[in-house]
Amino acid sequence: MPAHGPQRRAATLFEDADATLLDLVDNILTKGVVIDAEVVLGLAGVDLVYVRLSALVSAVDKLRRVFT
Amino acid sequence: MSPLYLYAVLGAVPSADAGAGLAGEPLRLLRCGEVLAAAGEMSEAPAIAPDTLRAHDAVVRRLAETTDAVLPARFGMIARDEAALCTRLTQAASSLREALARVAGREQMILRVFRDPAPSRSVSPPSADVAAGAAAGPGARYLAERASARRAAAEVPELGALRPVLDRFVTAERVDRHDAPPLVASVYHLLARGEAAAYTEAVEHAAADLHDVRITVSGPWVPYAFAPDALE
Repeated sequence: MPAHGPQRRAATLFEDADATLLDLVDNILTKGVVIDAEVVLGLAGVDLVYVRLSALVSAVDKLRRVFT
Repeated sequence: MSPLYLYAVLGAVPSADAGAGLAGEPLRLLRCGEVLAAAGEMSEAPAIAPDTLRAHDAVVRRLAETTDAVLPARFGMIARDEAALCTRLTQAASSLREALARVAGREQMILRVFRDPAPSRSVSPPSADVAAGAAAGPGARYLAERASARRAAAEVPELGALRPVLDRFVTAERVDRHDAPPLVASVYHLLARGEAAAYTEAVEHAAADLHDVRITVSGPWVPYAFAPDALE
């Protein structure tokens, strides 16, 4: 099923994302002063940040095992 | 009256011109009662994209270079005009002041804590709170479970061996636990500005001795994670 709304935007954002961008997304889209609760990105997008971070570290770990 | 895009709440007027906002608009400093805000006129919030996220962060970092206490705004915070923005910030003045005092002269680091999922997961016995709540009514049970969940989320047993190192630097900590293995927690630390390199070296050195836990360090960041959770 195709994703819509915030989830789709987040999926697009995370294509080719590196760890620095993911840290930036974590900081800027999920933290900081909020003046309008309706603007906040949906929970699906927030979860995706952490799933992508986990996938990144797993990939790095596998490479490390191959080359060391 | 133009809509205003909020970049940050400041503890004091910046010592130098902070330049333009993410769309090239001039930055405005707004005094809302006891709260000072940095904002730019913008007809609508920018699209979420890597470039706009980096530009937002660059503006906030520039502000942090010219003033001691900065609370960054979350991306996309737009108010219909100056009166609406000031009303919102004035309502939250006390929690903003408290947070500004906490972050003054400090910056944020992020630790990501990774642990490979165990092949079999042991089931923890219920905490004393939950056990006591089970004998009570549904309201007490709910409160006991909430208290137990809050405490579990704030604990990072994986960092136990690093505590002597962390205690040398960290002035405040916030923890998000995750259900996205191998990532188990994100830990946000406040430390004095200028100590990021020493903190990173000390943490990486100590973390090298850990067996089943991996830790990555990122920063320094402007203290996004130490803004008030919700403005009353």
